[in-house]
Amino acid sequence: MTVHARGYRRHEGGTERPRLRFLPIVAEGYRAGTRGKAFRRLGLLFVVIVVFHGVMLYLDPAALFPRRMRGGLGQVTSDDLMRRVLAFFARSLAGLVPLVAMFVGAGSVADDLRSRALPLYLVRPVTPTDYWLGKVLAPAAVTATAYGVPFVALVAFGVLIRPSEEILPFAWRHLPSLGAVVLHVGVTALAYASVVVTLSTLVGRRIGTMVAFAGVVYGGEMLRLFSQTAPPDLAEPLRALSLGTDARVLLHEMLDVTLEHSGPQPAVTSAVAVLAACVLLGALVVVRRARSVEVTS
Amino acid sequence: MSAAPSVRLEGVTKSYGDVLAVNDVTATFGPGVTGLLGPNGAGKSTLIKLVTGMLSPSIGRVLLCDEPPTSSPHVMARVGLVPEQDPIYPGVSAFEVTSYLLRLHGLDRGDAASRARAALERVGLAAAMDRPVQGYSKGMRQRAKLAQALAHDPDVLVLDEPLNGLDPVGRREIVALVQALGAEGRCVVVSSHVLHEVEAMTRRVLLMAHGRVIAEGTVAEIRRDLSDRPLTVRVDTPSPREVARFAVGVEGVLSVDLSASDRVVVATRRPDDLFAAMAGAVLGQGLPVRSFHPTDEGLEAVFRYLTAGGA
Repeated sequence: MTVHARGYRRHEGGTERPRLRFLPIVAEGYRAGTRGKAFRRLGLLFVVIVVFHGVMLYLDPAALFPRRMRGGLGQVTSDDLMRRVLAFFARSLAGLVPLVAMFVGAGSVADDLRSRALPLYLVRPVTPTDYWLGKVLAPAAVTATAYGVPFVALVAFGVLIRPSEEILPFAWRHLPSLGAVVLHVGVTALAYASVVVTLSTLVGRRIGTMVAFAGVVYGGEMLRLFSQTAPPDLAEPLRALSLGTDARVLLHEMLDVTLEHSGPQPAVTSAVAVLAACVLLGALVVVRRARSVEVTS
Repeated sequence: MSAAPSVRLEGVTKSYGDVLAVNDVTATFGPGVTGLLGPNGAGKSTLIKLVTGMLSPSIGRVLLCDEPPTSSPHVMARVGLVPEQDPIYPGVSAFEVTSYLLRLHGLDRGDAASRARAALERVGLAAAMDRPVQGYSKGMRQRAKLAQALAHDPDVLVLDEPLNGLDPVGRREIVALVQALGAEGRCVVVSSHVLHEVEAMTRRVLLMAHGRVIAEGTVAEIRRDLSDRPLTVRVDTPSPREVARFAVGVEGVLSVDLSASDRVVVATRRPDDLFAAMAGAVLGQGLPVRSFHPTDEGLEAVFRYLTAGGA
């Protein structure tokens, strides 16, 4: 009896379109990323922060405004308040969001390189571009979930605390705000995921990647703050080196909000350029590494 | 209709800077098992990368089932690779890995799970498939690698050192499996530097050294082509001197070694004449011979001759 008859049958079923072959990589990365303790702990922290902002929105909206403006709060509309809460919430989570991407994405390519599993991907109908997409979208999806769900919950909370006859008109008016939030979450998640996956590819070790990522993200933030004292020529590039601020600048632009005490802010064009460069550089590095995969014998 | 399982290399050269890893290789691997042999640095690993679409040739072209693998990713669905290294993810079972890799072929979760289970059962890992791979023995890891390469039922299989770490029973089973896969008409390429491993699986080999193919065909064909090299024949006999006297009179015999008391070793350029004369003398003249057989027709000897560079 042949082996074929005993155990193997040629696959006769349909297959997904080749360009979607990165989806199983995303699904597996998402599953692995959300089952760890780190994700659950960070998730809990996010819940605490969203509850804090929700309570503040309901009980003490004046706390969201600088002291000098509080006297005129009677002029502030509920729409202004909502947009301000969203911008404030984004700033509150600025230090935590990169941690999600870091824990989920640090090992994504590094583990494949260390375990020498890369050939197992590329000997299948998976191109280096599929590999990059799968590896970058997995941490991006987890980060977007961790960041976006509380954000959307906060929008929903802000809508639901309106008097019942105002809920629908208020929600309708804030659809653009929701769109801005979704775009901001997507851009933030993709940028952080791109950076962590790029570093994972270059460093090749999970711990080393975490250290490098922390250096890039928090170092970028330090440089942004340092830009106040930098020569004028250097100030704008330095301001744009903080990925979190770049993403928040876009959010503020879309929400038409300015938060006080935010430090130096880059121009929108600089922010977009840096975020796009992170994604493109990541694609280049990962695809290049995948093309030079080693099989030794 | 899909092309027959085959790998064709046409004038393939692959260079890394000034180093020629593979140099003007033209070869065809058809249905059945073919051994890819060569010492470390011979160019086998580069050839595997080229065949499995991980590298593009600098010159020439590689065709996998009549399509270039680097520009036709879909043809990779017809290939299975057993890498030499053990890809191990901590805490992940062989079933999870195999099933995940099957999903990269576009199979849905259910189909991937059933085929992964079938493949792991076939390689003898039914009882251990749900345990983390990091706790496996070397032999079990080898089987797990084989399972992931076979699970999608590929037409072309590339096995890099597939018998590494297997116990004798495991080796016998894997050798039988490889032979069966070849007998089904799949194109199976087995890379190894352990010659007797390859001999156990196939007589058809491609020998590489210094990036070049130095011989191709069955072991016997290659040996026959080496007409300028003497073949040594061991003759077991209680009377070595008598046999030696007879042997030196046979045409083509170059030397006779009488150093042992129960045998002589004869070097000849015309082994067929020696065998015929010896058989005739045993039957006709009662030459005292217990047995005679060539000592260096195996791969080891052929390989030694070919890579010795004319020594």
